[in-house]
Amino acid sequence: MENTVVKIDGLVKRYKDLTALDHLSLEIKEGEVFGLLGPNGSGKTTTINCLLSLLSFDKGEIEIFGKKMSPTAYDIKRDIGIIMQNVAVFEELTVYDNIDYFCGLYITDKEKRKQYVEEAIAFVGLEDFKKFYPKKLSGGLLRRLNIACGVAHKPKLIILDEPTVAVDPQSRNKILEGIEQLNQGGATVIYTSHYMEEVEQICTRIAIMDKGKKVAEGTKEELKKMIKNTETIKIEVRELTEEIRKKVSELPHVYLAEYKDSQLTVACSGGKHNLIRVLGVLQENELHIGRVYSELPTLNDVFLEITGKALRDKED
Amino acid sequence: MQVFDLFFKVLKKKYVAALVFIVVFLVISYGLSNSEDHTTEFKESVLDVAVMDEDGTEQSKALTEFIGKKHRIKNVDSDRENMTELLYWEEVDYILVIKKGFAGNLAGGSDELFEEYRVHDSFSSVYMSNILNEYVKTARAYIASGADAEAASRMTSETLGRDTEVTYWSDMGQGPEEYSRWFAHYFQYMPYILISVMLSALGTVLGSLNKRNVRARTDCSSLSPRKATVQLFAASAVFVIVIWLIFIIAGALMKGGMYEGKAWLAVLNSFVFTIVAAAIAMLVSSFDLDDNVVSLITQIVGLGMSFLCGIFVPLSMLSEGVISVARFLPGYWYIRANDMLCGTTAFSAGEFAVCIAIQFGFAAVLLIATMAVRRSKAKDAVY
Repeated sequence: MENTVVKIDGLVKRYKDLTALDHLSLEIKEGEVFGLLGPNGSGKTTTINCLLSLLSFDKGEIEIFGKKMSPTAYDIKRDIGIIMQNVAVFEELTVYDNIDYFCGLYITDKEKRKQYVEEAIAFVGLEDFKKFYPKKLSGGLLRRLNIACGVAHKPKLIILDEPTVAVDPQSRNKILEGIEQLNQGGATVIYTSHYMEEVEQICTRIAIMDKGKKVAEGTKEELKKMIKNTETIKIEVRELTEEIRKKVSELPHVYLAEYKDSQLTVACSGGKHNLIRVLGVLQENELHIGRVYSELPTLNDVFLEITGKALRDKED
Repeated sequence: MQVFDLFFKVLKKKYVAALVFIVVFLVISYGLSNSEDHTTEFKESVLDVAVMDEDGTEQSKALTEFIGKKHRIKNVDSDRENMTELLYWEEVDYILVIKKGFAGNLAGGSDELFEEYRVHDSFSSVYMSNILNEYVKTARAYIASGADAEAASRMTSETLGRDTEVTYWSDMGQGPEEYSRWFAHYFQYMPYILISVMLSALGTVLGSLNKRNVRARTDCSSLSPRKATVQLFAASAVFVIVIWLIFIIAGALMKGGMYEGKAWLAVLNSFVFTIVAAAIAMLVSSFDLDDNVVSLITQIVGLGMSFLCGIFVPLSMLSEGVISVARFLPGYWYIRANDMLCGTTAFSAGEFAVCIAIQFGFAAVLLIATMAVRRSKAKDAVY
């Protein structure tokens, strides 16, 4: 049976009238890549701050590695690595010295530390930038340095709070690959993001948060099964009459058919040949069909259906 | 000792501004220490003057005698061709030829009195010309008032030959022997430099170390915040003491010997003010400010306190209103103590102790304020 690494029970955090965390409970098992997914302001970072004892909370309990977490639980902190949302490094230190300093907060043996620092540099691919100062690094390289500072001491639990914000695709892929490697190396990972694609890609289990509450939890397959939608069909078609749209909406397994801006959107729940049936109706009526898409539900659909709003703002 | 080492690694990138302040201060102080003797007393300048009397009358002899009272008369041969050479080699500062017919022309009002050989626009030539003009005007005034030429010359020599008593006044008293004027100046300007060095180096280093994100990362680690704070305090203390020692040792070297007597009190006064300056730097650093803002604050606090508290302008020249404000600043109490040591005001051990205690009080208040700011920030010490 897998050990529980993190157990959060009934966590409540209030800022005056605002309830940032509302009876949040989570259990994270050893070896998982656990995703905390939610829009900005949903309480992800507050959860992490409470988890790390950087922030006191009003109610609830937190256990890490089976022990109660507190600001003075240094034996627990020794096995935690944190990669913060904002890059937290010293501008005055080189890449090597930054990693060495943060690693040194956990590892006092100089020889061992030297080896760990070299390994961390190789892990994030900064071998050619050891003597560079952070100001000279690009945004992506800076993020990699941020990660190296958090994982150099080889923690058992790694917390990554939105590590890919404002990162180029190449660095983002490198970061995600790195997280998978860390997990394969035995580390349990907590990964917060509002990028559902990333969470879908690397997380083995996901909790969706909104307004400080956990609104759903499970594997991505389990989450998608929680909602009505199993397939969304989008077809570019001209001059679709209300009569034809109605015919489509009356097809088996179709629970929504909308026509807007020359695009027919059909949402289905179950069924195996929904696309063929919809196209059949359109061909029967001799309509000219443009591009056709059939999409499986995403976590955004899960979030949309559960909370009634999109996971990400349009500008994201 | 991660945090201790980190302090000095960060300092390596921040020390230049502080070093400039230190070097400039020490260079200026060294320059002042070498020119100290020229400014401590008043003395009339004595010139080497060659006089050639071609008139040979009682009046011309009286003038030669008058010049001899104030200056050194040098005997030179009368070869006029050599005179320019004498001036060039600085064997004499001024050559005066009293022309034949001087006595008559002096009484008659003619300008045909002297022939001068001098270095153009030099101090000695202007000085000597003024003396001769004054002599001629005074002698003619006596003649005009009815005196005969001989009596006029005698009375002129007597009148202009009198010494005037001069009291040399300085904003700094002479003070005890072991605490010279130069020492008083050295310690007087030190607060400005201490504030500037502490803010530009200690302030910016602590500011970097206390930046919210990196501080949060340290707080998440297995190093306790207490240990981190102790290491940070130890590193800051080493820095502060080293800076203070640089000034104290440099002072002793420039003076050319170990401190003695009241000079040790100045050393104590400067140590206490160093703590005050460090406390100011600590408070500023707790606000998580940009280095440029810290630099601006350095100028405002350093110059502001220097002008208000008597560091740049002596307290005796400041208005009561300014002094009332200055009393609320630590620099004022430092200067009051320094003024007592150098003799500007009477020394009183009790009053000196009060000045020291008040400075300690300022340091304590600043440190408490620093802790309060840090505590309020720690409440939301999330990243």
